[in-house]
Amino acid sequence: MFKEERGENLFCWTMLGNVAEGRPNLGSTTDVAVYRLMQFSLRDVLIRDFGVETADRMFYEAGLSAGQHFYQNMLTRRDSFEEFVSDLQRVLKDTRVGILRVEAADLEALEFTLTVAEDLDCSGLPVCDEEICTYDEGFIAGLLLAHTGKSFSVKEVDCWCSGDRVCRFEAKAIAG
Amino acid sequence: MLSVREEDIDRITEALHHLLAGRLPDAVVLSPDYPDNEVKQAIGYLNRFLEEYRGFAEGLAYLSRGELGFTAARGRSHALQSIKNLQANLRHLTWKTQRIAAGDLTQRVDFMGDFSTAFNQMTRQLQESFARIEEQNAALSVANEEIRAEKEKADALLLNVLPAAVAQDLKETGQTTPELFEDVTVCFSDMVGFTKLCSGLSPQRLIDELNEIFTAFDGIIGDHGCERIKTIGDAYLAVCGMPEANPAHAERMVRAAVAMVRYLEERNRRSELHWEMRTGVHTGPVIGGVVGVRKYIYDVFGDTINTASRMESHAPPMRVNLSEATYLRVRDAFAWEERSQVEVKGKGQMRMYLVV
Repeated sequence: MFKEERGENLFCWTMLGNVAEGRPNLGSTTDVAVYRLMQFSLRDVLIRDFGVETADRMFYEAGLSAGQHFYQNMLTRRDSFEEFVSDLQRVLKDTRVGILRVEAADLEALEFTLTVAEDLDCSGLPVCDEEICTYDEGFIAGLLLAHTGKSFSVKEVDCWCSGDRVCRFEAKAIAG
Repeated sequence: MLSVREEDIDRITEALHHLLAGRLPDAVVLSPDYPDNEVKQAIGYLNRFLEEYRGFAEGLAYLSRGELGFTAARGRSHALQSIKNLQANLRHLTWKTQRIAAGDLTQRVDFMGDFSTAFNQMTRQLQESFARIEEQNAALSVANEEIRAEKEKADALLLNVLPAAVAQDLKETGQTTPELFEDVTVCFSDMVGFTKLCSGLSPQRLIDELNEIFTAFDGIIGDHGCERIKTIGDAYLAVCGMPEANPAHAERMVRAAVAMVRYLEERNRRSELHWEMRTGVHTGPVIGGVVGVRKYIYDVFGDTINTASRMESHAPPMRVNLSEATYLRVRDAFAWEERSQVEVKGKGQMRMYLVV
């Protein structure tokens, strides 16, 4: 299940298990630092073995898959873009992933500017002139793909790590 | 030993003076051969500060004008970060407001301090008000439907007692004016031996009989483009050519009268109770108008009505008796039987014609 060899994504939501049953005393939440410990140690090894570009692509693609599964399993209001965003804001807040805000949305051109404050991945990291939220980029692209059926290119243009207080993402539908 | 030239100090002072005087100073430019010392380093920091200050001041100016589309200057100072945050928040609020304007009242704003509280209170109240208005609209819609149904009933009732054109006048203007119609044909009919028949029938049976007969007459009158004016007991009064003029009024009225007789003949063949009626028709001027204020009745007046009534009283049962005035209008359309002149009360000798 978890360790089969594979040529395509095999992740499914049930792999996350029954947390309530498995952690009756500790519950479903953990410390943000622990999450980051896993992410950045993993990033460390991936960069060491495959280089920055490949590591970034892996994080983006993992986020892309996660975004689609998140959309299918966590969101319930999907009839319109507005409902989708409202629901996403609520779920990201409730699960303490971050505070999502929409700055601009062009539904005809399918271009969006989004910000995430208090981001799980990066808020509070040392400033280093790097945009670090590649997993978030993929995650947002996955959400938008699931909602619109179209592939998106998502780029983080401001990041806590590059010295900004919120992460800002620009998403554009990929032509064709 | 560090040496500072007075003119360099002056340039730093000038830049700071401009800053404090509300102007945006240019960077302090040092000559390329300026020694790489602490003064050069300090001026370098000053220039970076001036550049960030410019970005901050320009961003703030955009925001103060409500222009949110500018590219915020990058930098790590709290001032620049706050400008970017403010821009992001205001753009988000703008988007939220647009969604609300588009009708999505579920929008809420989180983690924006006092603004979130005020904004969310506003949208909640809007949502509640909208829900109330929708409820009121739904109730209003039901009430409107009831009113419409009642109005339809009232209109139908009005049409039962008034000609359509008169009813329309009354609805639109609240009044009607009596009017003289110069050329109208009047039909008067009356049941033969009504009093005698009445004595042998229960009131309900009598009403049922008259109701069936007069309802049929109403249909015939309507089909011929004529207008039933009223019934008085067993008498039935109809006109043609008013309130809307009709050049064929005489022929239409006579054809209707003949059809009424035919109907009664046919009814007598299938009914145990046999009715007979006299029918008189006359053509001439008639005054029409609404009588009454609370109970509207459209009535007709004038000698033409009296003469039509005389034609009826001189008609043999189940025949249509025409005055000469009507006969002259329709003599080519029917077969006739001319009667000898008849003495009519208040009129003297009158010619009369029976439709064959």
